[in-house]
Amino acid sequence: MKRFAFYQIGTSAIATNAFARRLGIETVTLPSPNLATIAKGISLSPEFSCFPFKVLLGSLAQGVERGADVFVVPFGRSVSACQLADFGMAQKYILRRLGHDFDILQLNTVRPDRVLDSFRPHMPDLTLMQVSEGVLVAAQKLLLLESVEDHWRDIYLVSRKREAEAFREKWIRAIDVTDSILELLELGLKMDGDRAAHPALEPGKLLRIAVIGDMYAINEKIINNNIFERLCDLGVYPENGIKLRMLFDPGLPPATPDELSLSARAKGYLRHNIGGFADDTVRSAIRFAEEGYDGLIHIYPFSCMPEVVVRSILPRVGADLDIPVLNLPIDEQTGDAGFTTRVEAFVDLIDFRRSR
Amino acid sequence: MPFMAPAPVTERKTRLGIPRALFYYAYFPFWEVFFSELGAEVVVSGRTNKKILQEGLSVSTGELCLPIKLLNGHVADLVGRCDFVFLPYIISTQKGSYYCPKLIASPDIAKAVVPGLPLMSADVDIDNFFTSLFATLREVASKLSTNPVRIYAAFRKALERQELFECHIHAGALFEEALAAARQGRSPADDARGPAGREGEGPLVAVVGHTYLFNDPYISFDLLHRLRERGARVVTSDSLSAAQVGEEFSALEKGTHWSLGNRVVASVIRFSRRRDVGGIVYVTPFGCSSDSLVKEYIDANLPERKPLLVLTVDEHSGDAGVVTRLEAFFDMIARLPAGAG
Ligand code: SF4
Repeated sequence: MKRFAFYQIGTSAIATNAFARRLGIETVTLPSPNLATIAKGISLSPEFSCFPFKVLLGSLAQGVERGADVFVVPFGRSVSACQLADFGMAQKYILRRLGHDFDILQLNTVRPDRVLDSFRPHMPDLTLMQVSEGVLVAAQKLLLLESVEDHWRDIYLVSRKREAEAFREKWIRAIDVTDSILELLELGLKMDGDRAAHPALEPGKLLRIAVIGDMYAINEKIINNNIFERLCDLGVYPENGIKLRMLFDPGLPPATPDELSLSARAKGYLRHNIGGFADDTVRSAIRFAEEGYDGLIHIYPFSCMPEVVVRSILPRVGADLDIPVLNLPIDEQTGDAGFTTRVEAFVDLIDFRRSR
Repeated sequence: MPFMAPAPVTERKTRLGIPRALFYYAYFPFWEVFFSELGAEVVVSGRTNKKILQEGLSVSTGELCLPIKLLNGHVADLVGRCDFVFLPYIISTQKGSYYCPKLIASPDIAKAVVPGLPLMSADVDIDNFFTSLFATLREVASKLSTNPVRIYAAFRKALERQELFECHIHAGALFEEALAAARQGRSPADDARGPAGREGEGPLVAVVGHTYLFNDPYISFDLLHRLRERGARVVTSDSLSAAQVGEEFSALEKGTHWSLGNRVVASVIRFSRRRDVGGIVYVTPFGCSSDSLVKEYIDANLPERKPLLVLTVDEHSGDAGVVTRLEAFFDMIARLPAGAG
């Protein structure tokens, strides 16, 4: 039987593992990206490919070493017009030269029938029912994992790091081992109850910063230098502007007057979808500015084409809407010290602005 | 333009600026005819020089690639000199492949970094550049003329000019030659000398890369002319027709996502097969990430090796080193017997 490995971002493995269990497929678990992954990725990758490309290639290599035959790339819609479109192929070429062969399965949608079509060639007996349930459970888990992060932040800010970490660990474990749809619903309620036992947070009193930019950079701690925790340490309320769920957001056209006007204004800055999460980034920049956030941190891999475009446009957005923007390009060499200094200086700046 | 006298309401033609950058090298013949037929005065930004480049570098963020920085310089060169600057959003001119995000959004970038830009634009996103282009262009044209018959006539004329230009390009002419020939209404068959650039006895060198890079002498170390001066005949990746690019790709497992990348890969493969080509020079902008993966494709799919010189271009690359490498390369292929390699 073929062995599958799923690309992962942040804690997404918990969701994809549940999906795999539902389908009864055998998985190879990739280690979450660590320094060894990164080093391996860098050594195999073309110099100018983006940092996520290198990290993903590193984990692919670790995956083939562990015997994976098929890589599932749940990239969703971000795949359009971005280097990611060429990721699969290029990585295959690179690893083939080293004598590894494997298949790549790209999932661009979570529609169960399409997912079924993609898996059928590898698993002829799969049923639509199994796939639908798998998708549902995985989606439930993904959303729960996101609320864990929100709760973690709130507890971190009012209580202490240790309590926040304990909360996170406890509930991530619980989400991981619960595979029934009903129990997951119940788990969500219990988790909210547990959260309510901690003192409430008044975000309005804190400086609020929205972190926007590239999906992978924002959701993978090892790539973003743990930006959310650093902001909390500085007493700032951070909001994740590009959540994991957006990978599979069906991208419904804007419907309400608010949404329509937001997307029209965003188009004034960036007229076309240029792939990745560029249009989401511009839209959320405008949205958070109007919600009264104190600053925007734009974080992106150094050579990410869509985000480099956004990087040129955001200063204009910031000037028009009167919100400071910090650009944080990251690559494998982004030093810890410089990074922290820039974030701290930025927080000082917005603190000063607010006190005026 | 604080010191400019208000435009006289009389017969002054609308001045329409076209930056000499990016798609200028692909579609200028069309735009030139189209807009002048509609009564506009077409103003092209100056040839790239130190000032334009410096201006581009100073307004652009560091991470942008050189061609986009250069575009910003050319756009800035036009501001204040014309009523509109025309810069289209070109997303796709062929089914299934796209331009890179920076190219697609280049008008947005220019707008964000060049203050006071009177941008005039059109969306080009079609399977075939010429079929539904008319619909897209009507809107732009409406700023210049309200007469649909006149617009259509201008469109037809522009198409003819563009087609003639492309005939020359596909026959192997370089940009300036093809532009001049098309302006004079000469067809390639009229050219007694045969396709430009093919005359002479020297080795045939293929120059491969993005058209806006090697056609701009200032940023490409005057590569094309340097080669000719040394007696080489030159053929470029522009000379492949879209169909020929497609042919090469149907043989591969999967194309890249990029129109320009595909052309580079296809040309390298095609030129490697051609017995008369002595060597290939591949010019690539520093930090062009779409090109970085293109190299993986070339390495994986190259049938026979020809001598290949990769020249990476950025704003700092000094001429001297490049010239030395070019000369060495040239000497090497000049020594190879014709047809070998
Ligand atoms: S294709 Fe490369 S050189 Fe051209 S605009 Fe895009 S990144 Fe820049």
